[in-house]
Formats: sequence, C-alpha cells, structure tokens
Amino acid sequence: MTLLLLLLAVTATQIHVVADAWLGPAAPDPTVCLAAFCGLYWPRGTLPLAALALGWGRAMVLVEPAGGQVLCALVALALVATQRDDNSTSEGGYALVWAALTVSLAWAAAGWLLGQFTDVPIKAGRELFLGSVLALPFVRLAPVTARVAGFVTT
Amino acid sequence: MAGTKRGWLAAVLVLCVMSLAGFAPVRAIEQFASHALGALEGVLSEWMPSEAVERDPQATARARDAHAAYLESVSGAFDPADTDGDGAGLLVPVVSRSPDRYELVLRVPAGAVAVGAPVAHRGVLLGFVHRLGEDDTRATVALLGHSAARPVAGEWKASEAARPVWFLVRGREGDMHVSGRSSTVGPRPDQLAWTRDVGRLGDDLPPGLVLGRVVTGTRDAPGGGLVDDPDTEVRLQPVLDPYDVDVVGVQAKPGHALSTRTVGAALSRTSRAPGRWRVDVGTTSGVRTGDWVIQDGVFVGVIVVAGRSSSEVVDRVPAGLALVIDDSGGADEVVPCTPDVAGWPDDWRPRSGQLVAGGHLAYGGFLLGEVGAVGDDGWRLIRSRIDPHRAVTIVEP
Repeated sequence: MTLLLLLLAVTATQIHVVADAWLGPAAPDPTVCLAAFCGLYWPRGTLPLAALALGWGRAMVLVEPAGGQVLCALVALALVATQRDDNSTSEGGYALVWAALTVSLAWAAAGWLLGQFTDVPIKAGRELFLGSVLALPFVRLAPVTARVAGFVTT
Repeated sequence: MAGTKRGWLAAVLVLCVMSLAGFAPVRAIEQFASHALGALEGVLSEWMPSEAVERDPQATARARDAHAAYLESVSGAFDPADTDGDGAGLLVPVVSRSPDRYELVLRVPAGAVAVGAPVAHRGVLLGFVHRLGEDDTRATVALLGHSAARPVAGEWKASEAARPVWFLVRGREGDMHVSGRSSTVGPRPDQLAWTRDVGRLGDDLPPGLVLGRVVTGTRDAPGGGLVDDPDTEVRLQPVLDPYDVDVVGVQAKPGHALSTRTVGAALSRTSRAPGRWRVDVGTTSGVRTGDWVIQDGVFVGVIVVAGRSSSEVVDRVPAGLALVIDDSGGADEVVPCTPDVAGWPDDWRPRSGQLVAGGHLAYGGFLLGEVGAVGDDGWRLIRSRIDPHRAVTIVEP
C-alpha cells in the first residue's frame, strides 16, 4: 500500500508540473488530496510511512532533497490524524476538504519553518492551497475508498 | 503497536535529517524512486506546452572561439592545438599556493602531465612540475625560485642589435640567481630576460618565455649614495606574482590526446523545478556528482546527486573566471573576470547584453549566458534558457 501511495504521489506531482507549465503559479497540486485522505484514514501505526511515501514522491518530481518534503508531510498528516474520529467515516461530508486545507496550512508552515533553518529548496506554497480545492469532487469517494482499502470497517 | 509506530517515526526522522544535511548515500538512495517517474513521463510530456527556445547559433560559436583564444593566450608558448608535437598546452586551475615553499598545486587531467613539465602564464615561465600526486591529478609546481626547480638557460639583450648575454638561472630560497654569464656587460634598467633556445642541447623548453626582470646589487657611489653594481650578484625579479594567478598553462605529455568522459542524456520534462532538472542517466552510465551538463554548447548546470539511473542537475555556474566577450571595439575581445568588481581589469566595465562564456579543456568553450544588470558591486549573469526537449551531454569537469 505504501508503494502504491508513493506511485500516486509521484503521479500527482507530475500532473502538477504539467499544470504548472500551462498555468504557472495558479496550478494546483493534487498531492494535498492524497495527504488529506491519508491523514483521515491511513492506519495510525504506519502514518510515518505514508508521510515518507508522499514526501519522497513529491520531492522526487520537484528535484529536491526528500527530507524536507517528508518532514512537511509528517507534520501535516500528524495534525489531521489528531483531529480525526477513528470510529466513523461520516463525520461531515466535507471532512476531506477540511483535511486538505489543514494539510495545506501545515505543509506550507512546516516548509517555511524548515526554510528558515536550512538552505535546502522546499516547494510548499500556494499550489498546496489551490490543490485543496481539488478535494471537493472526492468528498463522497474518499470514505468508500478507505473502506475498500480496509482502512476503516464502519 | 505504539512501539512500532515510534520505530517508524524515528527511522523516518533520521532519514529526513540525513537527507536535509546532504548525506550523499541517502541522497543517492532517494533516486531509486525515479523508476516511478518513467510510467507517466512519456504520456504526460506530450501534454507539456512546447517551449521553443530560440538560440543564436552565432552565440555558441563565439563562446567556443572565445575560450579557444583565452586558452591560447594563457598557455602562451605551449600551443593548445599541438597534440602530436612536443606537447599541447593545457590550461589548468591553481588549487593551492604555498608561498613558504615556493610552490603551487595544480589540478591536471589524470596522466596528462609529466614531472618536469614547464608551467607558464601568458608567456611568463613560472616553474616546473616537481611531483605528481592523487592519481596524477595534482601537480606540484616548483616555482623558479625553488631549489628543486631545474636550472634554466636564459638570455638578455641590452639592445635589439646587441649580442645576447647568456646565463643560467638557479633557484635558491625563493630568489632566481643568475650564474654563468657569457658576458660581463651589465643589464639596462628594467632589463627583461627570456628563456633561450637550447634545443640542440636536448632542452626542449620553448624559447622566448619571460623569466623576469634583471636586478643587480648596489655599491657605494663616490660622494655618497648607492649605484647598481653589475659585478655583484645578479638576480631576476618575477614580472608577475605567481601566487596571484588562478589558471596556468602547463605542457602536456607529447602525443597526449585530451579526452574526457562524456555521457549523452535526456532531461526529464515532468520532473523539474526552476533551476533544477533531472537527467535519465546515473552512476551505471558513468555519471558522477560534480559532472557538468551541457546542451548544444550552452551550460545547463552541475550534477549534484548521481543515483543509479537518474541524477539531479542544479543550475550552478562552474567556479572560476568567466569570459566576457567584449565586442564594443568591433571585434570580439575576451575579458576573463569574475562577476564582482574586484575581479575586473582596470578601466574596464562590462555592458549589459555581452555574452559570457566558460570552457572545458576537452569539450571546448560553451555559453553561460549574458551580462545582465551592471552595478557598482558587479554584474549579474543572465543564464541562457534551456530547452527541455533537447538532449544534453554530461562531461567530466
């Protein structure tokens, strides 16, 4: 499952790079939706692995050291996971959108903070916030996917 | 369960820190995920907008010519193109200086230089390669004042029509001492001395290289004061400070052909960021960290991480002098300088739009970009645009 997530993260960021070539700074990054989904439904025990896959995949496409993006993903997933209710997948239809917004905020804040201490390039800006809008079409699909993947049973 | 989670968390955190610190093995392992890029590269790259990068073919040609001219001027008497004669002139960087030991250390192509090879800068003989180290890629130069530098046959002429005065120069404690003069005729003030053609005696040191300025001792003049005394020991004073030189010409082994490791590669179109690219070759193809990436005579950047099958390239200009092609006088004049004012020649200022070239001994010259804004503290380099659709060549620096 982690490998699949890595592949999806790479694909999502590649799509972002293509969109960026057309739209410039207005291009959203769909990785945020993946991260929001993981924050909401990924098993807590292996959440660091999910962060590793998401950050590594994104950094790979953006030609950055993976450490920065993985740390950002870790912070974002941890923040969403602290807010989630493990016993329910139906705590409001727009949970995925709120989670995506939280992920964007946490990812961008962590990226900014890391940028203050290191000279490593870490792309974590407006593309994340724009990407959270892409979560809207998936609000109903996300709980179903989580059940199919075996992350939740209810 | 909690223990497993903490274990994963600790492992991921440790890897992150090592990655951020630039720990090379971790950065190389990160490239394994590049296999995942290939699946969509072909499909998505078709959706990329065409980024037609128009290049002036004359610009890259001028950059190549500028580098060749610079090479020739610094190598001096060692002909850069003379690969089958007495040895080509290699332009190599000075990597360290030891004024206490009268030595310079050069970085040279492996196996290209022999012990005893003469070293010069713009027609001035500096010394000879004294020893080689680190797989023959570091050459220590004994400067002419060094006792290990071999004696050099020299000459000076008091006038164009005068018979030359021949002599030998030997190094001792940093000074160039003149001995065995063929005549007691004293030198003129500021007399220059050159290497002498003694090819018939088996010494193939090129003649006409400047050795230094002749200085004599002094004696008490009648009535007081000091006057030059040609009867006292004669020495040569260097005409340039050898410790202030960044690049020198060194004679290569006879018949040595310049070669370098080159690898062809393609830039990834779906994996890139401003100033950073990915190439589809890695260590299995011979790529190493620090290699230079060039596209049709335009410098792209430097490999910063070499994975097994892909590598990261960062837009970074090679350290050292840049060659500004100054065409203000009608013809191209090559001005080696640095972007900051301290590295500019006196009474010279670059102008916006002038081409900036760099070079590689075996690959030749390439275009770095053009001079941008020129301020009081220096000029800014505007890099030439890179076309992601065109192939690149990776060369060993």
